[in-house]
Amino acid sequence: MAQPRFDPSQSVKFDLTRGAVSLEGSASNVVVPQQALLDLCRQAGDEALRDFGRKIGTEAGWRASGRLIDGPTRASIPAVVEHLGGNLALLGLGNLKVEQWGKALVFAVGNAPPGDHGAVLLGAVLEGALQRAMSRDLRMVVLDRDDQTVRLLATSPMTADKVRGWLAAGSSWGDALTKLNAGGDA
Amino acid sequence: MSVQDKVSALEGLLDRVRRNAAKPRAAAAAPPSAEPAPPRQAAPPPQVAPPPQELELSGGGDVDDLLDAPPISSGPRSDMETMVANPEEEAALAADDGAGDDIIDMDIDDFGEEVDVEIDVESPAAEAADVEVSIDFDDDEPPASSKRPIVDEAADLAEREVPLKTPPPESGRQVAVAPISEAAVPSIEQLGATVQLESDGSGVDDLLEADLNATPGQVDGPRPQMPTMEQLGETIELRGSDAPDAHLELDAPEDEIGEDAPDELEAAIPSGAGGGVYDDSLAPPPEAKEELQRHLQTERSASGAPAAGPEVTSRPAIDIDPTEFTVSTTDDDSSFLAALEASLSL
Repeated sequence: MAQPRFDPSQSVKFDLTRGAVSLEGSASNVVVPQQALLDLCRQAGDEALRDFGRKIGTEAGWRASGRLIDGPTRASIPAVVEHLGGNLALLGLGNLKVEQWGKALVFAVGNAPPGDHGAVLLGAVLEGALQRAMSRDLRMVVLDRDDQTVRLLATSPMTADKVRGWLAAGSSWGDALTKLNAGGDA
Repeated sequence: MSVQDKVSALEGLLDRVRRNAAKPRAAAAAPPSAEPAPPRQAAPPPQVAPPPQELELSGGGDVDDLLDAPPISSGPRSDMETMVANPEEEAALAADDGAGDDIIDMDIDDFGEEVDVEIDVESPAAEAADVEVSIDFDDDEPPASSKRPIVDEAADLAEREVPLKTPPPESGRQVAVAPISEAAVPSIEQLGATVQLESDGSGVDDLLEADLNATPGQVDGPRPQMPTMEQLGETIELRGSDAPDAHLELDAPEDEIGEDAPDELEAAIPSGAGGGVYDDSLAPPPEAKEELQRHLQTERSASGAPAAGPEVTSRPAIDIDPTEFTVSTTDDDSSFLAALEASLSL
């Protein structure tokens, strides 16, 4: 069966009488300024920030997996990118792309929330979404970020610490991916 | 006699007429006439009757008694008449006496001569002794004598005064000149006299017309007709055709200058079809293409990215109506979960 395209129509509803915003049937949502959200993330700490992002991503992954007609286990990469990326776009978290560097699966998000805390928040959202949609425990490692794009590596929790170590040691994110594809000994 | 003298003589004449007109009325008003006859206004001067407050009630009797008494006629004519020096004028006055009106007759032969004025005041009402007069003091109406038109002498003189001279230059630019009509100019007819002007053409009207024709705001004074020497500056006389031809030394034309021998250090510019123009049909050499690829790889490695490009999967743009969208099957059979597990296995 063909996978339907992502249809954002009627996804966001503004009930001005009640003063409520609903996103694809979710109870209520709050539209807040991005800078205010980032200020809160900066003051919250890493652990609280991850929990906050994972809760947001869980909702997004649940909505995306519900649109995958073949199921999450059989959904193609373009289908997952389209529907998961569509839900991230509805949240205002950027434009999702997926890059495959060898075996490494890299999520490149354009127009992402600025700053290091924005990148951490975005990684936490993707972790929660993939855990909810694919039922896998994974970590998102921030490989690189510039003014436009944030690149996050999807990897296991143990590998994630190793890659962070490489990056902290001064390796470029390309070298880190090269090492990772070579088995970690390169 | 100049115009100024004539005008002065006319004004003096007017004053004398007024004085003479006022004298006999004051004397005639002495009898306590209950109803002074209002003289007719034949000609100026108009104010010849005494004011009403000069009337006196003789005997100190009651007003009602006086009113009941028969009216008192005015005095004889001889009391009201002034002597006329000229017998001819007296005859003329006698001829006009039949009308019984208040007549002011003036005959001016010459401005320098004596002007005699006869004022004959004879009221038929005064002669009519049987006229009953009743005065009601309760009446608010003013007495009959007050109905005479009182002429403001100052206003009258101001109206008749004619500006003979333009204002001095210190007064600045005149905004407008009061329109002077013929009625504003005191005419001899208004004065009731005949003025014999000189026949030399320099009449008052001519002089007045000369002032009226002057441009408003025009200031009398010396008008420079010619520029001054300071304005002209130094005068240079131009030579005419008879001047000798000027000799100008001109350089020799370029054509006549012989081409110098080329310097030994100069190189000749190659002349040809492609001189100075790039040929677009030329292809870059193959070593340049390899050099370009090496340069791009160097830039990519400098940014930290791996040398080999990734396989990118982008989210398709949402710019179509979902109701008309036809789903296209992807040729990529690899599932996302397999790719994710492969990445997690690293």
